[in-house]
Amino acid sequence: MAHITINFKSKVLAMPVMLDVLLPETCKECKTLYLLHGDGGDRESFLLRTRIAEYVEGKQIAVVMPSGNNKFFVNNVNGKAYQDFVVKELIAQMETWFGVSRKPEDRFIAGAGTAGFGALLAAVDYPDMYHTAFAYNGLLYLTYLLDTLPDEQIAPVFGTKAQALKVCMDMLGKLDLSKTRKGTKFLIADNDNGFMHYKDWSYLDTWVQKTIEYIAAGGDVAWQ
Amino acid sequence: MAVMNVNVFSESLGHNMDVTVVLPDEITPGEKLTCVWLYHGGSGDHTEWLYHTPLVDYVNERYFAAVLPGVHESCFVDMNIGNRYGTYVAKELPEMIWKLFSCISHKREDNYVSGLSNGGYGCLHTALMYPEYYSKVGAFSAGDKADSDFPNDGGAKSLARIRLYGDGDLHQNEYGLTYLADQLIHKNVEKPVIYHACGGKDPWLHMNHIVRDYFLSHVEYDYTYDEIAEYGHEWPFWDVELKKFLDFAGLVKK
Repeated sequence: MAHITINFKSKVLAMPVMLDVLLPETCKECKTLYLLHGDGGDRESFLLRTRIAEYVEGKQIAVVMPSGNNKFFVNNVNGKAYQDFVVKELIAQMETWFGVSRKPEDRFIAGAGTAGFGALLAAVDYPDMYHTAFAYNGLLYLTYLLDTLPDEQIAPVFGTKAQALKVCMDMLGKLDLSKTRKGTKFLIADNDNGFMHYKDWSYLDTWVQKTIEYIAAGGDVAWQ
Repeated sequence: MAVMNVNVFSESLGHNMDVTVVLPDEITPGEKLTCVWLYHGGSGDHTEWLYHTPLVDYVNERYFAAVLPGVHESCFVDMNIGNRYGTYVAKELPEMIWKLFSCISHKREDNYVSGLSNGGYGCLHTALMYPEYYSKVGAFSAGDKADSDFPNDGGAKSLARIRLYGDGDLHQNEYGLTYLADQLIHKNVEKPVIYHACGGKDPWLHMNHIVRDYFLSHVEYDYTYDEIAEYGHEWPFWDVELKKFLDFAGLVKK
């Protein structure tokens, strides 16, 4: 497995962006997991705080970890289009640079905390792009998170907290929890005190490991 | 542009190595880019071309991929006592890069190797050892190690030479450029096209002239020599020559 650190000029964000990629040396049509860090992190968080490199060793899966500057990986109301960056530009770049699969059923997206929300929203907004979307401690406590985050962090991303809440509610509506979806599958890893565990990397690590197992097993996942 | 640090495990070395890959901004999907392998000098590494030249702009303007390997102080050969850097850099690494990057061509006609000083010797050595992988060479300030003084006096310089090449006459083994070039003449394979340049004030100019005279007197080789009087052994010269070599190789400004 090769560990590739990339600095490239993003057109969507109109600035240079850094990302880390784990790529199988024999990657031919391999699957891709877009793994998005939570608040306070960057492209290296999963590499340093979980054993993601161990989990994918010898498996036909590339892991793509961009830096997202605490912007939820959503299109910011007062800022840059991070969702367009992740969904449109990054996928196109990965598939131009490397021999990864171009099939939606081989593409996965996951995120921790605020990026878990971003990952789910990306898959909701683009139902034909991903096999599965995962959120680690990302969704169920988002309202709580919104209460605790300072206004200056919410304002660039959503505007007001009320607007943020509306985006959440709209997304929950689209998720349509009661029915089995035909398209993307959704997995939400959370527990009784999810927010308390938000910064607990051993907890996240367990779930990242499970995610890789799910992907290796063909993405047989369910609501947790 | 995209500048990438690629960390890979090398079977021939037994440990991981860092490699720099530079790609243009706009790559047509499905593209197989021409690839220029850029070798560093004696105290350089896999980043030095980035910092001493505007390589990222050349890659964009001329639309190709640049790969910058590092081989520590090995001069890009399999060491007599030490690591097999030659096998790694000339054969194993290209095979890995071609597999990792679907946008880089693995064809011989699309792979050129270039370098300065020790890397100038190194790129000639690589292309003469593996002519089936590389079609063009751009060697800057590149003498043949076989022509270096070797007093074999137990001094630091002699010991370093022995670690790299042994104590034999390099005109008689595969470390010597003219030895390799002689061997290649008798093989039924396509020979690399060679572009060679040296500054008129380079302290090793005489060694470059020996290499020049060899290739000029062996018409089996397509060989071009360039000398610019006012330059020495220095980056401004290698920057000028990189552009000249890219022009020579057909990688012109779009």
